[in-house]
Amino acid sequence: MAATRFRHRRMRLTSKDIAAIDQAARETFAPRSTVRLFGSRLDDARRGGDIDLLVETRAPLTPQELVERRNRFIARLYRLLGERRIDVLIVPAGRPDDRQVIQAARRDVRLLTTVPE
Amino acid sequence: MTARDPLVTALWEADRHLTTLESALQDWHAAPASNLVELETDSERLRILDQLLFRFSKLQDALGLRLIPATLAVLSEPFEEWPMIDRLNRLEKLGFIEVDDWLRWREIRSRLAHEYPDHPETRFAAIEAAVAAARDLAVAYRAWRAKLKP
Repeated sequence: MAATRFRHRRMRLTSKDIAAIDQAARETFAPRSTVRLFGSRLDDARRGGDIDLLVETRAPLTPQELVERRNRFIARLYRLLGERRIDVLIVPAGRPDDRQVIQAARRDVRLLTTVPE
Repeated sequence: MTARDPLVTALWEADRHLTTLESALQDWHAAPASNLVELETDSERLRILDQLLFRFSKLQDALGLRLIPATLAVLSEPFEEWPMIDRLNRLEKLGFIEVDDWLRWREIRSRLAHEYPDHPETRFAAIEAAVAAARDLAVAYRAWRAKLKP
């Protein structure tokens, strides 16, 4: 059914949520970084839950950069959306990562935004 | 009851957390760990860090729950119906706080409460960021306090 597909496409994020994620990503990450949704918000049958985001950057970040960007990105989202439970994983694109949560996130994600050049 | 009573209570509470936080910061910086192994194998450093992060959280609570409304009340701002972000924006305009800093501290604090599947280097970088945030919060609170009582 069309309505069901539409709900799937929205992934239980509002258009305001997605616009905020796009804006915060542009303000935080380098061009061509991608932001994908994973976790419970992909599941239409569930309610609420954390917003789990997987950010893939073109170049790897140092641990200090990673912590600083993640902090800035989520703080921007707090400003745009109010305080919510938001979890952000940041990994370099195309590199293997043996952490289970990263492997699961990479398998089951929907692209939300790509930071433009 | 005057608008000053809640302010006196808020400052009293925040001061208690500030005192312990600053003492823990001093202890941490006297012998800072330089990686996660060094930290996790040293019970004294872990104890200092726990105390530091606990007081960082408690000072945030004291400011968010008590000092923010008490400050706005003393300034006769009609804040009761305002959402948190509007209160923060107003206090930024009045020169009490930087909203971006406050939101970053909130995020760091909420992260402390959960285990994240980070690499050890990233976990340690997050701890260092939290210590730096705790220091910044202490400095910001001192400035806030000074502005309230010229």
